[in-house]
Amino acid sequence: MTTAFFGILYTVLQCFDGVLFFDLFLKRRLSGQRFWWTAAAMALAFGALLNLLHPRGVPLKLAAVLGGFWLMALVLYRGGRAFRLLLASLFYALLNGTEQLLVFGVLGALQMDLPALYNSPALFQATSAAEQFLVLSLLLAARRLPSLRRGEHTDWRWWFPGLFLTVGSTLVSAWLLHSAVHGQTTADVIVVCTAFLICVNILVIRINDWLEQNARAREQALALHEKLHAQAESIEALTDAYGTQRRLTHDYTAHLACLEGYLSQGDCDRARDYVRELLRQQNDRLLFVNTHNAALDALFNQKARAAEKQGIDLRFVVNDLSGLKIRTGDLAVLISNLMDNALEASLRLPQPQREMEVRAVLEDTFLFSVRNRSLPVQIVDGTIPSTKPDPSLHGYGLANVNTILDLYPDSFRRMSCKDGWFSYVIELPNRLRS
Amino acid sequence: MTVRILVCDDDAAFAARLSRWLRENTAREPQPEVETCTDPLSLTDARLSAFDILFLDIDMGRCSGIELARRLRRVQARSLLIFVTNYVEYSPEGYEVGAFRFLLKSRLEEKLPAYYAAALEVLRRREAVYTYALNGENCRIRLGDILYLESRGRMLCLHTTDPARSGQAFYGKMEEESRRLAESGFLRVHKSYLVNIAHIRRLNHAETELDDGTVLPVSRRNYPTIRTTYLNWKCEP
Repeated sequence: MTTAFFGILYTVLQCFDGVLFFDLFLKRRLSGQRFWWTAAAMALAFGALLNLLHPRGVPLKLAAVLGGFWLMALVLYRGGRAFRLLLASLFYALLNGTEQLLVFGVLGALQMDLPALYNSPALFQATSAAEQFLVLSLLLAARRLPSLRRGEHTDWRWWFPGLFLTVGSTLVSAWLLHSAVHGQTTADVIVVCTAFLICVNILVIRINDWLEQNARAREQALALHEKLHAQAESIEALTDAYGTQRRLTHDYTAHLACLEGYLSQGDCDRARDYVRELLRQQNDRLLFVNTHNAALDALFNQKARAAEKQGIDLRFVVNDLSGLKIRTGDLAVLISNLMDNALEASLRLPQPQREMEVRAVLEDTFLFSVRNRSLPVQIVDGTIPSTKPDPSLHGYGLANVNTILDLYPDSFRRMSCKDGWFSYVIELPNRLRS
Repeated sequence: MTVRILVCDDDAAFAARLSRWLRENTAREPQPEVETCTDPLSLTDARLSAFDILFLDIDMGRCSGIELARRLRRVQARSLLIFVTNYVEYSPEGYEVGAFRFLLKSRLEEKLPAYYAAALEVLRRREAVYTYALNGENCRIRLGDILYLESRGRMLCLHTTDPARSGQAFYGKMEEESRRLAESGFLRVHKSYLVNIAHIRRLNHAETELDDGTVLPVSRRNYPTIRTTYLNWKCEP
């Protein structure tokens, strides 16, 4: 009975270690007391099952423990299943390694064998307590490492190759234990090998973390490049608008001179023909949108011209945006990226179905939305998984939008796809960000 | 159901062409009843407000389509406005009068079928009715006329734009009505209030103000969801 009690207590403590470990990488599904009550219930159930059913043989026990930790990660945390399996196996490898290191360290130091240790409950429990203390200390130290605290942002793909190394080290560790039980190897060898395996697993974490950091830095650089591109586009649109304005002013003077010439000669018919011709030319649309905000008008008009060229029926719902206080640079990134995405998505449809609606309305807040007819889009955790062959070229549009919106704590965003329409709605407080 | 349509353009030839298209190319149901007008100044407010869909030319010399639309909106907000023009410019004036679409004259035949179908769809949604049992009698009211439903114990209290029907109470559960009306643009802003989003003038984390000036409390806990639903609805046609 005492053995079972200590066994369950030991498993519960291991589960607590597991929570600390998973917290380093994953975002919790539940918050506050609900999380801890669920974790405690799972740990107790896991401890009771493991110690009462007592699976026979190393492979079965290994699978049971690993499965238990994986189940905890699946129930308590968000993230990809494979990534949570990797973390469960990594945790188990570290836990198992630490246990073997301590047990065989003690055996080596005291010149004992394994059965002797099991027959000395006080020493066995002291070893277990020391192991718990060591694991807990390591985990608390690891929590202070800022680079590991990514939560849901961790991309499991960067970690996946490490799974093979981790599972491999766990199997080697199990084999070492099996050899020790059958007296085929000495405690010193096990201690050295286990220490090496622990180092390998810690290196797996550090190298993968470093790889991920580098990948993120590269992604950020690309995102920054895209942001600059959006702002350059905005400047280009303004320059174009200014150029057009200059040309029109110049033409206007010339037209007036022409009309003045005809009228001074009393040639009203030619003057009338001239005016008709001018009106006909005016149908070449120069200005689609007039919100009384020059920068946004330039951007909207530029996108509207692109839409017209591609046969997209683009409608605007706008009001007076002259009172916008939000940084123009931020708005350029938001508007440019969201409209570009919609234009691109519209092109995947046959021409008669290409339809877009842009809403930019300033009331108490600034409401901006882009809706477009679209093929079905899969939205996962607020993002759209890339369908492009090279993922490094995709997704920065929405990433940039999110980066800007994150700077406005009171902002709202919502992406949805329903009844053949994709829509992205954002709402921003009408003020400069700090 | 009959759809009453006004075509108003000082260019008589174009007005006739548009009216003919509407009479000849639209489906029998709902039957369109098309009136053509080439003199915008002859239209009284009462006559303007009798139509479901109005095709208005923007540039009509002495009276612009926007001015007509402003006059109409002072009387009623239900009709759909489709501006017909040679040169589309989306501007604050269009938003002010709630323009439904801008139709380029040069692309009339190409764009009109889709715009007309979309307008009918909106009209159909607006004509949807809400049914409830009052003293054993089945009653009906247009969804658009409901401001909000209030839960009072086992009863639901109806608040409408029509003062004669406002305050009617009938047996019902807020949970069920909330689910039933979610797709029709009703939003549960508080455990006791189910509001017609179309009548929301202002919404923040503490309260919401309706068109008639009523102020209702808003659930702080559910505010993010409430806000998101409200914004989504606002951005739909």
